[in-house]
Amino acid sequence: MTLTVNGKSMQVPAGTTLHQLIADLAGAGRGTAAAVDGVVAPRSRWAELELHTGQHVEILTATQGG
Amino acid sequence: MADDVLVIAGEELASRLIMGTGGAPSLAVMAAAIEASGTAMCTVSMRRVDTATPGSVLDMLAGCGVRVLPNTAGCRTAHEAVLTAQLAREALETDWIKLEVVADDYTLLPDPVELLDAAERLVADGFTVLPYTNDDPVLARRLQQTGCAAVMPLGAPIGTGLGIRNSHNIELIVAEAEVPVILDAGIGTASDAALAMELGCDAVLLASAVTRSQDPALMAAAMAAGVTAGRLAARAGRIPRRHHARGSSPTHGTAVF
Repeated sequence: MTLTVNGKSMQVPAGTTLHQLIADLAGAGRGTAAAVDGVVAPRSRWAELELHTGQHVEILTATQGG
Repeated sequence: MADDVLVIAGEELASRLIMGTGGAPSLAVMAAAIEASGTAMCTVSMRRVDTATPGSVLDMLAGCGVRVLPNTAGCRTAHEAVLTAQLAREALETDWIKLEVVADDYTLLPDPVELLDAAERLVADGFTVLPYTNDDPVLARRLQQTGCAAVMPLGAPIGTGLGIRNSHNIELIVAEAEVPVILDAGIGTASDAALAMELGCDAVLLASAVTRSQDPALMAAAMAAGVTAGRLAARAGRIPRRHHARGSSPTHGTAVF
């Protein structure tokens, strides 16, 4: 299925959870947060949250900034 | 000095200088500047994960032993700022947020309508909100009324180094503030930081003035000294300005030749 992850189109297997996606991209370490279709997805729900084709996922972390 | 501690939302901070981490050429340079500043809290921004970015700002800040204050830099609307704050809370496990909602790219001035809207929503959602605001006493008052834990008026637009353009307004904000006033943005050099404190601000937040200086660690030390000097002067109470000279040597007993 196709997702838009941080603005880029991406192919992932059907049934991929948010936890799996983040682990692949960012290591799921401390300091990461995600929103799916503009709604914050709490970390406690990542493992059970299955993604669906066409969804927009934003994965953010802290960076240097004023 | 030891009893003159900055308190925000009931929590003590060991320094009245808050540092932004943007603009430094490397994490190592930033760490050295943080160390030299003696700061107890640093801001970070929330951005898309980029695996190509070397090192972690969070690891660096943890190593420095400072508190992390996420910001909503880059947000243009209350909606974006609220979402960014909620993501920061998830990512960093803090409900403190430096709220920034700017109107455009060339002034980076806060959009007061969106700012106030975002502040209300975030306070209602349980955040400890530290809003970056214009040097407008009325807007500062309104932000306090929403329940913000501090107000952070600008001295001048972000990154300009123009100092404090309207010191009278900063004094007006300080005069009626019931929460800490943190001068945020516009600082160019140490005397600007000292002036902010002399005007009665409780703290100074700066980034570019240190990170884009020729020697960030040295400038960080200068800023720390400026903040301390200004704070001491404010507490000591300056002499009134006079139109004409007034000697300090006694006139009585002056010799007549």
